[in-house]
Amino acid sequence: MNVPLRALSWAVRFFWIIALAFAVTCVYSVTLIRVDFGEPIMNSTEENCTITLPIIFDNNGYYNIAGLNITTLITDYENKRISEATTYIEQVPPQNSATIFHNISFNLNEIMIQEHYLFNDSNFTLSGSIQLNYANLIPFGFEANTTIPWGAPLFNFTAGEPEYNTYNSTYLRVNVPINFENHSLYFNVSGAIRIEILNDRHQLLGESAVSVDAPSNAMYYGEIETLVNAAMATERGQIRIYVETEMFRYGPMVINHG
Amino acid sequence: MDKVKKEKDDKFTMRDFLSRFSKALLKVAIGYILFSIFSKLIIPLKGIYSYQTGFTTLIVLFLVFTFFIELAKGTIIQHVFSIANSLMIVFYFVCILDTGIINVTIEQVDLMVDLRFFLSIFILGGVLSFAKSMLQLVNWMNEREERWLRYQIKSL
Repeated sequence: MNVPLRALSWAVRFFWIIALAFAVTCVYSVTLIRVDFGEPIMNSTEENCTITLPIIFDNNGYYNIAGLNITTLITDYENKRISEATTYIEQVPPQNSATIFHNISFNLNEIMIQEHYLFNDSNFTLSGSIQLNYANLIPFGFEANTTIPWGAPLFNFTAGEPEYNTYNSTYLRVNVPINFENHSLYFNVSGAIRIEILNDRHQLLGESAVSVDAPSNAMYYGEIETLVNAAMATERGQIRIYVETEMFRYGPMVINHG
Repeated sequence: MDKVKKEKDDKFTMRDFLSRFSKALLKVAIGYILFSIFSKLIIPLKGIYSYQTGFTTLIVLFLVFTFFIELAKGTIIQHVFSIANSLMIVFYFVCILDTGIINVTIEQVDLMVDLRFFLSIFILGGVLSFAKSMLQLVNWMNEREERWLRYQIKSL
């Protein structure tokens, strides 16, 4: 009985030594993992905007990282999904580093067609999660939330009272003051603002456009001059404003005057 | 001659006690050093400190059992402590198996670690230790009976 018992004792001892050594080295290895985020690269076309986020995964530990799954979800102020992206890496071997380019794409038009984002500052919520299997055995998960500020490109857009002046016996000169603040952090408002002036019978009296270039985080003050037919002009009427830029089109914004 | 030898074997001297005591202390010291190293390793994972209290209690009890097992070597008390020790390990890890999925927040990052695989390994280890301790107890009782029988036969 003594020999098998002694063998069993040694087997149990080895079992504990291996289990504890694995546990200790595993915990120590986890502390050696480094995750760094590079500068995000933004590429925008007419329709889509892609943000490439470089993630450097430095596995200085003793064990393999398998099934690395990076997921990002961008939601708007109403918690509606704007974009969801997933990047999967099969494994990062020990003593190795991997640079992962995580692409987050979203349709800029979908955002720009919403009046809320043109005229109001807002926040998008970016939820990021990383799932992985450490040493092919222990599931790990990291989750973090952050907010991405959104600045309205036409913040505080105001069209002032039109000013009528006699141009000649046929035409009146109408000046409409327009101002707004481009709060956008990502693009300039470059394009044109077009106005149409209508009388109370909805007849077009005149139209004109002015080019606009409001850099990011700048205010725009301008005046649009239009010549209107004096014979058709009425005391009351409508001004229709259209904003047409490289990034978005908006209009008509209808302002009743008189 | 045999009788003299037997008496000599049965005699538990102060020297034996001191030897066992120092051995027990050495084992406890090694255990404590290993635990300290482990505690230092997990310092970067500050968030799991809340889970450490129960683990520290387990280690303290384990070291106390180790001390008394070594001190009571060769007696039934050694086996009783050994069984109690392995049962305590199994019981502790079974109790915390439900909480094996650790969720902590470290610097605004929610971290989830599924340690159930580790806990299962430790439970298995505890069960193996328990089986070993039981067999050692049976063996010890068996040897004691054999010795008593031999003594009875000789005295006839």
